[in-house]
Amino acid sequence: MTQARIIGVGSPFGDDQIGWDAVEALLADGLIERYPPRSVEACCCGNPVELLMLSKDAQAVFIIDAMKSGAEVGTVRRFGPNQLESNQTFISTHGVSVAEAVALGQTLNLLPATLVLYGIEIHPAVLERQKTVRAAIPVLLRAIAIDLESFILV
Amino acid sequence: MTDRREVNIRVPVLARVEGEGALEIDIADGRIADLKLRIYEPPRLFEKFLEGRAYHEVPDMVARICGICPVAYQMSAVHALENIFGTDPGPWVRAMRRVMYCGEWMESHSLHIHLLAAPDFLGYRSVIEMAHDHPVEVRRGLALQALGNDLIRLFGARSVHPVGVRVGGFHHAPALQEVQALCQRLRAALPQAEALVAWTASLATGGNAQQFTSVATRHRNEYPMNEGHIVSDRGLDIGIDRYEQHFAEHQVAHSTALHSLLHGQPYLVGPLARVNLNQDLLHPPVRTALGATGIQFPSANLFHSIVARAAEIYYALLEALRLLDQYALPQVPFSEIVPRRGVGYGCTEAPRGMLWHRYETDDQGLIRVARIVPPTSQNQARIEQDLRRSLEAFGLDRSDADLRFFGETVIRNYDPCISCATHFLRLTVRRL
Repeated sequence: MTQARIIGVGSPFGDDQIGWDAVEALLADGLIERYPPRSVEACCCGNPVELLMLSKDAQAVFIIDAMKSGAEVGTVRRFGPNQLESNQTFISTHGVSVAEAVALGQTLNLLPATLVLYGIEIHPAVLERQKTVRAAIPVLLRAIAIDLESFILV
Repeated sequence: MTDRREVNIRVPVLARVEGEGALEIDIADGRIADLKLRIYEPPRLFEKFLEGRAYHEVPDMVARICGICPVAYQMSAVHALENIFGTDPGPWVRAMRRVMYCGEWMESHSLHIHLLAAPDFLGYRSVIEMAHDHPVEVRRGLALQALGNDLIRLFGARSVHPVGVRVGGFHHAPALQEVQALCQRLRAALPQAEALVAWTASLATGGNAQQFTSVATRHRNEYPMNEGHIVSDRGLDIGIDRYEQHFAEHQVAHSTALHSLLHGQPYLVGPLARVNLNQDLLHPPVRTALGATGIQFPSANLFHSIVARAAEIYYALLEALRLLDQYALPQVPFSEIVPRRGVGYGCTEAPRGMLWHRYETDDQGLIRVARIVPPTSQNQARIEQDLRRSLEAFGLDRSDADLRFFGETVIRNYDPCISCATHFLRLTVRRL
């Protein structure tokens, strides 16, 4: 079992891919290599339902996804699983959102001991990539680094 | 007693379907006066995007049409382009394309059965509610979906909008060890898939028999996926290049998706149509499992679509195993392409039904014209026809809430992918 898994959720449509971009930036940054081999992993997925299977063998899971909450575009927010309403608008496909997937995971006892969600505010109606969204990645990586420090025993 | 009230039911946003659609029903004097499945999602314009692009860009571009069935778009496209260029990718590519398609059927069908349709059949508002009472079944669905995604990832590098497919074959052949590990998981999941067929049959106890035309592809010796001719249960039997002579799309004011008709009439594509027309080509264990349900196929009850979907998951597991058990690493996982001018056709079986592509290329293989007819366009007229008949059989004197829920159930049963279907734009240019 890995100690921490970071999962970027997204699709190739506009800034909905910010979760994937963030994981790519995190890997390029070498954040994972600061920890013992295989203790921290990172991956991407498309359908939020996949999160549940990807979360199975990890003690802590950090999810990154595009978000629409009414905040300024580029805002980074951090949530625990109990802070999500199942109708909260994380951008999703096929009628199953991240919030619903998390609620389903809670019902089925599929969630890890620690689950943290990071939302990056996007403007879903705009197809062009927004610089303000991508500019949020360094802020996000610092927040994840702080979280990892408290969860991973080096 | 006939209900004389006037009822207007509006479902402004359909839940648990892919894309943005709405349902409008007007009832007057105990009859449905007007019914519209409105698809208001903006047009996607993919066919126009493809014009002027090189043939090798097409598989990755069309994969973007749908997050649930990207493999289907890639497969119809590469077959059409290879049809133009006279390319034979050989038996290895042919077999592995089939395996990848099996992954998509497993992933898409599992999602639909467990998360989108089953809550309707069991009377829950969502899968989250349903999971409280049926945790084992929902876990099974998630596991089968993940297995399908992993099968797509094996060839496509990722499960959503995979990038491994190219005209002529694949960019990469998976290592034998990866294939063997996946085969073990596929084999272990067989009992779950078999149980799923029985479980879905226990759900699909309602519905009514309706007259409709089933349309699917058919191959001489295998259950249709990538290749075949187009057949119906009313005697149609044509090559895929003759599609436009029999099927016509037309615009309706209330939808950004085109309605497709066969000889002027609605028709059904998808898992139920496929099983209705090809059940003799299912692997024997699948036929046995279907036989044990007591449901007779061909079936005229659309609610049996969920059982057909489960049968196709079971088939996909067995078929992927059959092909991967003989896996050997090829010298090269693709055939070289020599582009040329021409017209080509591809017609494969997306999870939701037949997906037809036509391309015209120039001498360098640039796309001059593209035409894509997705399954949801083809089913849209049938869905409206079904809604009228099913709601009247259900009873128009029921409460608005009951009519609304039942109407949504009928629509969701087709697993419509509205995002795939909205791709036309009528453009009028006036030159003064």
